[in-house]
Amino acid sequence: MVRSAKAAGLLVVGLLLGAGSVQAQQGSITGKVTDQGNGQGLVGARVQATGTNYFAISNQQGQYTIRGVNAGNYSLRVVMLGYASTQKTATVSAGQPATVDWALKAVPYTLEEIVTTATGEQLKRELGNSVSRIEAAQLVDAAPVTSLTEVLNGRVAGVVAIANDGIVGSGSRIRIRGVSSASLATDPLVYVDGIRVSERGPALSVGNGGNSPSFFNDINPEEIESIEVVKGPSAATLYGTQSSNGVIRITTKHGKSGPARWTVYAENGVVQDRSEYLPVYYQSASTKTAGGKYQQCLLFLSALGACTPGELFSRNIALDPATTPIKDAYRMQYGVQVNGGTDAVRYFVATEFEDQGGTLKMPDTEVKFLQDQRGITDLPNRQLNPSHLRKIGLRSNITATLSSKADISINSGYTNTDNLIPQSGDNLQGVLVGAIFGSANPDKASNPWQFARPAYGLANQTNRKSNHFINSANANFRPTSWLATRATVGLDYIGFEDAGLVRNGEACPFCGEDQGARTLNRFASFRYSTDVGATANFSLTKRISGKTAAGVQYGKETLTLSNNYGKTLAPGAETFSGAADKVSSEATVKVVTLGTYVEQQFGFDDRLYLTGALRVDQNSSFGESSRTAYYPKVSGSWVVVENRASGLLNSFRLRGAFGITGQQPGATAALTYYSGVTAALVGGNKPGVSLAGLGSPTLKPERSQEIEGGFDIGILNNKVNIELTGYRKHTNDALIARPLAGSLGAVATQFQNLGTVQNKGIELSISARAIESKNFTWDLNLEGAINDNKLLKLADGVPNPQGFFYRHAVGYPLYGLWGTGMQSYNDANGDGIIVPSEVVTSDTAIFLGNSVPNKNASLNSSIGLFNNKLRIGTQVEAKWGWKSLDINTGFQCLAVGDCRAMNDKTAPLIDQARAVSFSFGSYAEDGKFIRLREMSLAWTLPKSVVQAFRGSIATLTLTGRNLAMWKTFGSWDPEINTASGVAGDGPNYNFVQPGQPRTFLLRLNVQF
Amino acid sequence: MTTQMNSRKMMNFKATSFRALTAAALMTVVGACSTNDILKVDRPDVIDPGKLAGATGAAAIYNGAVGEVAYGQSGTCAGFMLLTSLFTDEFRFGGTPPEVREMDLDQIKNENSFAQSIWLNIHRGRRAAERGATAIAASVSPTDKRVGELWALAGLSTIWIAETYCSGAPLSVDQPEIQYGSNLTTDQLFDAALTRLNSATSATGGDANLVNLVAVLRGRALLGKGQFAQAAAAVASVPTAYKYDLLYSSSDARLQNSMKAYIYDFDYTSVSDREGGNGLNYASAGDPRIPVTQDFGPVSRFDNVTPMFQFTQYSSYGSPITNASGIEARMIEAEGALQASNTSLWLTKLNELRATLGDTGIAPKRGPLLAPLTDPGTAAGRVDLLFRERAFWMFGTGHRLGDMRRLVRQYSRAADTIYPRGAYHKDSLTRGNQVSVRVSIDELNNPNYDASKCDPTKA
Repeated sequence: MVRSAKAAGLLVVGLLLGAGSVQAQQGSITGKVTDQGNGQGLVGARVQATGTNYFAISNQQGQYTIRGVNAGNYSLRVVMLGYASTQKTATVSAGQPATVDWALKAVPYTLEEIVTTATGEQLKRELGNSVSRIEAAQLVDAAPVTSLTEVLNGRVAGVVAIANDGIVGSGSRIRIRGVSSASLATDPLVYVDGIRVSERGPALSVGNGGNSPSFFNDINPEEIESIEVVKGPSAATLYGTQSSNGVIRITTKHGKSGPARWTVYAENGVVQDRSEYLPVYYQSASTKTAGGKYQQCLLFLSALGACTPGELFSRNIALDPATTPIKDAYRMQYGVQVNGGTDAVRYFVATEFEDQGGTLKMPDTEVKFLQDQRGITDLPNRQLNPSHLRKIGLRSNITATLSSKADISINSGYTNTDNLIPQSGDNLQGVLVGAIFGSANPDKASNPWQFARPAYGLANQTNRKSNHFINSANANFRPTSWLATRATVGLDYIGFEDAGLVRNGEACPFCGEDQGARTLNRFASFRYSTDVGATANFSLTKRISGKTAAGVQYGKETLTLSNNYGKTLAPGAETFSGAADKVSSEATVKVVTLGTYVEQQFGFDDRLYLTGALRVDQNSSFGESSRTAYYPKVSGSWVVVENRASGLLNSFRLRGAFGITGQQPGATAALTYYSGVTAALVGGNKPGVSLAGLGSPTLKPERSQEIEGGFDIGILNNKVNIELTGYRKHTNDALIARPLAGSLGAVATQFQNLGTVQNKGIELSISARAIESKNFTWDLNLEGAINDNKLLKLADGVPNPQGFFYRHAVGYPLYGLWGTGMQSYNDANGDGIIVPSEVVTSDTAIFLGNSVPNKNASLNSSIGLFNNKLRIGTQVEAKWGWKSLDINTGFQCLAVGDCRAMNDKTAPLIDQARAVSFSFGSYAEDGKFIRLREMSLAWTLPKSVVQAFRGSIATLTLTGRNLAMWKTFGSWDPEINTASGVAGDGPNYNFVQPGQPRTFLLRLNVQF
Repeated sequence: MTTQMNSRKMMNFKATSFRALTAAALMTVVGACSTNDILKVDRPDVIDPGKLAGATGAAAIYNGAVGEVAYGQSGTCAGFMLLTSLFTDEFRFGGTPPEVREMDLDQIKNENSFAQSIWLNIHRGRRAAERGATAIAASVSPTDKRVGELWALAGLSTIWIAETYCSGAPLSVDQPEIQYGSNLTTDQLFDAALTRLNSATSATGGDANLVNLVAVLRGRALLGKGQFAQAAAAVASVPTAYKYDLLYSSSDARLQNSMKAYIYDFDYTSVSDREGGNGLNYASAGDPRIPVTQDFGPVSRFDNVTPMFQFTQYSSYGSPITNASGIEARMIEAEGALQASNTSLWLTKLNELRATLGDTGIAPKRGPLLAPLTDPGTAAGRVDLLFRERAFWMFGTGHRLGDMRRLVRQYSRAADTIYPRGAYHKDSLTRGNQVSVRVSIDELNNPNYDASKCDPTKA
């Protein structure tokens, strides 16, 4: 509270300084903004007197009024998405309104956009760095997007969204301009309405094989007005420590003045998993055992004379209708939104219900098995359908214009989530594990499952429930035409629980919890944000304008958790209250960041902008001797050509930026400390202490410095817009969890500032209106990026840090795939069967490839027919330049011997060779793919139809997602990364998770 | 740029700009002041080392250190017991994780993450005991018997390292300043263990249990050095009924004896029987010292291949592990007698134990009397019999690998006649040729460690 008061005091300082200005005689500027083509009023246009704080937004009729304007001459600029920006002058006299009307020309693309930066709203033309913007409000009506990740995917060059698996509710990895940190979080920061919110959040704390939801997807795309992606340190400097992975700024919808405008939407559809799951094989020997049982005769053993092959059996347990754990699921989503108000008070209120089933189920044969075993017919639905997501969302945004100089906005969002998560992935109870590694041995026909059969595995239920509040208040006060002050305070709160339950007698008998177990872990995450700042506009000369911004930001993160686990339950018990063995623990993590910044910008002729800034951060996680970090930036933007109405070249802007940001170490990484433990001693358990951290007091944040440059160009009557950006980012003092020599007997790792990481790349965005006529328009958008990631150096004497099949090696990408593997093979005797002696395998680990795609491109197409009444959209996405470790096939061959290559002599020799290399590194496969990610057909219903139910606009949309894929990868989905839900970018392996599902959705959107 | 400032503002331009910059500067300065208070966060999970002074702190340090040694032995999914029991002929593997299978195959790779954890956890126990002994000696008394016990446990941990890891394993120190150790030969490692046991001797406070613990551990270390007579002398006063257990508990995952989970919960480890041809017939011997059951069927439910025999001694998460005993003392005496060519005494020692099995006081109490042994009549036969008796008496307590290495090192047996070798029992694999465990790859962060001096194919 003291800190908040301090921040508020700073605002007062700014206000008092501004209050010294003498009140002048004032007038107003008013008018109407219309579409030049049809004369209709345009809502949402921003009219601003350049070089001042005077601005207004047009209402639902297109009317606007700028009040409290000092008498004088002004240059006005209007900015509206989809329309060419124009300028006019106005003369304001005391007590008189100046009327300025605007008739805007629709253009496909324009340089002029308002973007939100750390210092407030700015024209994009003033920025020296690339900022990408997604108009989410327009997207969700027509595209098959059900989550924020899907909104981002394929729409911003340089942003890679990698879905870890196809389980409903599963989180994804978002990477911007590559991976910078070897041991710290690599997710970008997320801001909603000016406050910092949780990114992915803690991984699921109940074991389930690697899957984990993400709080990133709590932010409902239906409530978003726009998304801006700040890609790297050159742009994110003023966001300070933690922003080196980029920043995603989300602005939710706000009310527009006018009568209440209702939007009602309903969406229903089907979710299908059409993954080509692997079959299993069993090459029997020619003779059976004395007991009449089949014996397996692996291919290479038969070639070595160890057995004589008999009959070959195969089956696909995962896809056989009797045994398949895959089903079609449903999805439904219903929502209501209303916005409106007066010029003084505007509102946006929304609510939504979303319900989606998962594509996993209890196989039919297992249902029968359980019914017989338990003697009942009604099995628990959560065991029959172990995957499910239900969300309820509420949002209320109120904006009040207190006077021409002050406005305030209070934004409240709430998401309630209940996510039932199945046992899957790297988990002996995983339902796909049992099928993919099962047996085609006819003796096991009735129970072909490997490890835990689904009847037992799915008895183990896991879920996460959360209540997520994102509340912020934003106040703007413009005491004079030249000074604008603002303050934003907010709290992102998530209360959530991870729970697991397996009842006594229902569990897998050899999975450690056969007498039942209950887990209940409760978390509370508080993220406080305070941001107070002021911006002063001034003119040095008639041609040189200036803008000075300064501010203070205070952020505090607190995560508290209480873990409870009970094992050996009474029959029927579902709580740990009566458990025979109980364990509980608690933990608290707190981090405070205090940042101050100052930014100075100069504009020359409203064409050339030069900006310099410095941010100073202090953070509770830094070492005692290095508490302060300094982050400078400089940037320039030159609008060489603008607003040429015709000709080849219509607009051209050059830009460049340099900036530094940081990434903080963990909350206790700088400390040497003990933790409380329990010890079993004579006389019972007793409290003790254990060394838990061996920190370095000189620990510093890692610093990422980036230089970027590029241009924006509009050509062919502004029908083609090209943005090209090149960047080079160096992360110095890279914080690496260095393994400590075990013989120290201390802790496994110690964070040290050890290395330098480089990311460099090129981003290209091309938007084009290929065809434009009244009845046919065709827009194309290509987003492409190349990233080259490399660990440049490690401190002397530091061995390459490594983990499960990944390594941070100098000269190679972070989290590169490393391992021993097959290097060559030769069927020397020509018998068509490869034996181990015919394979050369590397003795030491070798680099196998990138674990994250370093090249990606997406082509978005939108065709408008019949005056845009019918729109057809597609998105084709390609990712390449990476390897995915196909442990699905590898484990089949190397661990359970049920793969084709170990059993079927017609299997390709290379597959046989990989199998008898007995090395998982042989299964690092090219992960490249092209995916028909989205298709949509949106029909704007005829007015006569809409008016029949008193609507104003109605759209019926049929969409499809993940409709087709072209790949060379050996198993079903190269994007799967089994452990990344809980372990970030490493270890990286593709292992028995469901593939991304195909969805077909029908949506009706009606405005009243 | 067509914007014009009105005349009033033009006149006040300098003042305006000054105010703007002043506001910015003020905000920056005010925001940055008094930040120590702002940045201060409470960390309830963190115990500052400075708060552990005094008697209460000493108790916590002692408790934690004993717990850490137990944890390193078997309190985690990657414990010393798992490693040593799979690496030898005692247990075999019925699961699938390749990194655990490497232990059973005697083919542990450099990158094995389980092996990394085990190497660390053994040393964590050692260092916790050493730090604890030092701290309690300073804050309470150098003769406090907890000091003696912790030095004894540091000695025990060092013996594990000497018996398990290659010749060339280092011992380092983490506090008050990091001191990286260099390669130590097996003999030097046993010497290091004896040094710690000497420290323990001076702080037993006359406690009989502690005196006996130090005596047995000293005997074990001397045996490792091949000083058989000294070893026998060291343990002479230890009563046969004596034992020292590290304790476990079911009430906390950290306290649980993980061997129970491996054997009973996951069907990962099974008592072996003539593993790899050279192994002893532990499972089929019907020997009451190695009680086994087949409660869940003949093969592992996990891999459906590995013959499954559950070792009932570890049927509970709270099952203790005996780390020193009067039985071991008698075995050391027997070996001393054999080395001194006193075969009569050697056989007497062996048979005394077999005759007293079942009496109260002998722990673990494992069943009826055993029939007396007869002298096989040859030197090799006597050695075989002695080591078989050791293997059966101390089955599953982490002694077997040291014995197998001693057979190679001190009795000139070929490793390929002692260790499980040849075709693996599943997965179409062939066993490796390691006879000791390679030091984990994370030790490369020790600048004084030379990995080339650690040869896991040497005993």
